[in-house]
Amino acid sequence: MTGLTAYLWLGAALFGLGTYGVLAKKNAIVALMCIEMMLSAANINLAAFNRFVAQSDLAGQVFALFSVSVAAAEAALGLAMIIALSRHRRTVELDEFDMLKG
Amino acid sequence: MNMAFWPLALIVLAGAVGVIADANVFHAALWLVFSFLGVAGVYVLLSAEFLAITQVLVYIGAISVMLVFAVMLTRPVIGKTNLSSFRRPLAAIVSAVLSGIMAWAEWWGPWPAGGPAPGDGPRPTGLEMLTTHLLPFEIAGLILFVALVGAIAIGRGVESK
Repeated sequence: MTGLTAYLWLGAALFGLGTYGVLAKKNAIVALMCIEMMLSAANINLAAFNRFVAQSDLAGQVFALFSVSVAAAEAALGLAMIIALSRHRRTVELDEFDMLKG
Repeated sequence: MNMAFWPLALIVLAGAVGVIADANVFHAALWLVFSFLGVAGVYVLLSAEFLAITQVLVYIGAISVMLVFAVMLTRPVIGKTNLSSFRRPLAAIVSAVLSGIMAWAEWWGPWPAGGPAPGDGPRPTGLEMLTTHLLPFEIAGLILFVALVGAIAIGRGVESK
């Protein structure tokens, strides 16, 4: 097993755990945490490919940095929406947010 | 292969399992911080020091505090609050299949072994970001600004007249 495979498997395992959390959890905040986990898994893959495959430039690391900043924006907006919804509906359970259902 | 990888991978995955398995949402947020700390260590092993520092500052410093605030603002934090829905088996199958496909695809493929670690610190990353990728850098700043204004507008709510 080369070094790169181990890092990629770590990313795959973290992504799988995040996917499970997003699909199975009732609490919207926990779903958001699991989305952050999935983004971290993608960032691990970017940094690993940068280290092992394309070491001549640092595009992978810079891409991961942009991904971190977009993830911060996403978390801020997601939490604002969750707080607004919890004020409106008195709950943060994802199954309760079905106002757009026809 | 650096031996420090295995304890760090264990920290990352244990934190992730804790987020999913802990019965309390507040404790889940703390497990997430644990997992992010492991990810920062993995970045250091990949000689991405700047990324590791950013991970600590942004995720552990900012996002986790925001998550803890959201947990406290929305629910009582004591007791069993981190529940799973009835779709648990389906979610387990979907995530296992996705991870399995990824692991299988990553096992094949002639990956290069990689040279020695560059070891010249965060300076090249900063230079790369502020020269080659200057325009995306500015756009990322704009996205953050717009997102924060939007978050304030959404979170404040609409005043009823």
